[in-house]
Amino acid sequence: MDYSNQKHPQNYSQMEDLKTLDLEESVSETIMRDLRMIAYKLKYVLIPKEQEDNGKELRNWDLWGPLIFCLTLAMTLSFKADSTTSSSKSDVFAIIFVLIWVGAFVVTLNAQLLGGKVSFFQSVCLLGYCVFPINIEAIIIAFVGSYLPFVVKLIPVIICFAWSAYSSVGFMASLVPPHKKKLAVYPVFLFYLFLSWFSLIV
Amino acid sequence: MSSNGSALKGSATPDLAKQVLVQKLAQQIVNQIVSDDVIDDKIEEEENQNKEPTCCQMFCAPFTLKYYQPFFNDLTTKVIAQKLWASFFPFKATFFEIQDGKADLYGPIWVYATLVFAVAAAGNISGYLATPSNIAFHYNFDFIPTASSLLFGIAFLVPFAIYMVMKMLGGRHLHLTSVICIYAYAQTCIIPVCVVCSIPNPQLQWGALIYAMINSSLFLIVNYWGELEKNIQAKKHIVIWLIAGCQVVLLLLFKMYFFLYVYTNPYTGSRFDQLTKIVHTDHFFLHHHQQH
Repeated sequence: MDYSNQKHPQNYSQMEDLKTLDLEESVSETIMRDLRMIAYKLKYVLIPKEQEDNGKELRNWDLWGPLIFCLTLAMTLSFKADSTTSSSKSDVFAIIFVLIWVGAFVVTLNAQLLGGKVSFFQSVCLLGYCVFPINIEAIIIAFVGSYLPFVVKLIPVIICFAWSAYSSVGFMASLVPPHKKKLAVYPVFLFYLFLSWFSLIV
Repeated sequence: MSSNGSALKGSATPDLAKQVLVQKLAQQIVNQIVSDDVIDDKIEEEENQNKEPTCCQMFCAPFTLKYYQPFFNDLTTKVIAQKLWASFFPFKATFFEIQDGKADLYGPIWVYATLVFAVAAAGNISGYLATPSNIAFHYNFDFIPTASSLLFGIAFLVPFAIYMVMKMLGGRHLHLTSVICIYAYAQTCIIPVCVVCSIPNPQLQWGALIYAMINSSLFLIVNYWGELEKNIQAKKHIVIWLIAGCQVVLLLLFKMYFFLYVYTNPYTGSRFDQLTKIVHTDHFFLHHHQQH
């Protein structure tokens, strides 16, 4: 095993080699390693330059990242729920949580039914990671949104929505044959539009 | 194992001989396992071909993905676009000529999903614009679960009712999925209507919703006219009233729940008024300025 790569693994297989030690290490180390893994995958998914191998890295899917981003988004949006909406905080949290997981499920099913040969969890993992920009815009608007006019609020919303959509569309479009591309891409677009709309109005 | 004797004679050390022996044993074991598996699979396949589907398999079929695959085969963007376009022109009965009337389930799922978003957003926008500026507006998140239950509920129930009624009155060449499919495409005209209804003017909203009602009912009736004329003849008005009635109820529900709050008096100072007043004040100011 090559221990020189322990701090900065160059690829995921080197990270996997380190996993054999996890019974002997402290809890904080395990958690930090998982967080580093999530950060690594996040960089891979969201920064287009890193994708030279056409999404093969996503074969090592995990659902921790999507769960963290989903929970953060739901908590951010329900944080201000009492003052701006007529539903309670728990209603808002529940709606967003269900929307993200059911939405990812349905979008993946759609891609599979249209003939895309992708593993189910790989696609859910990708859609979950691409929720991260929506997270950023929700946090920005939650903290400074009340001081800004509507038009200024639109700018981060549009940028983050475009970023999410662009990151996931590249992967989704490559799954299905060319004459069905728009059919597979439109649901992804609708999914992120729905989430961006929530972060805008709350 | 007869080849082992020759391997042992030619080997340099006992360790090397042991390694070779172990490798050959391992290979033999793996071959045995693989061939056993292959034989097992072949036997299972033959058995499955001879068996009829069990009761469990018949009931569980709708829960598998394979069951819905036929409705997504041969779908292209062009076909869906043609179907969507056809739904805006109810006087031409061309829907069943697109791809030989093959039903697809892509339309129902995504038309209703878009409608949920459109109705929830438009309902809230019209409520926001209709409230006076001094009253704080509370975004109503309950529109989303309500809209989803309503729309995905009617997506199955109303076509089922239409299908049963037509079948009982003697209709032939009907499939439940085909009725679900055409009913969903009939609802696509409500999406632009929702966008228009974001403006809280009551006359505009009623006008737009009545247009949606007429468009969707006509689309269904015109496309089923051939079927109605041929097989049902005398009692076709039952089906027509059923379709029109369902659409009227749906759109009344929309108006009464999602687009309930409108301003009645243009001078109450709603947010929509303020938006339009800004435009009027600017014009007045410019005109006044130009006179001097």
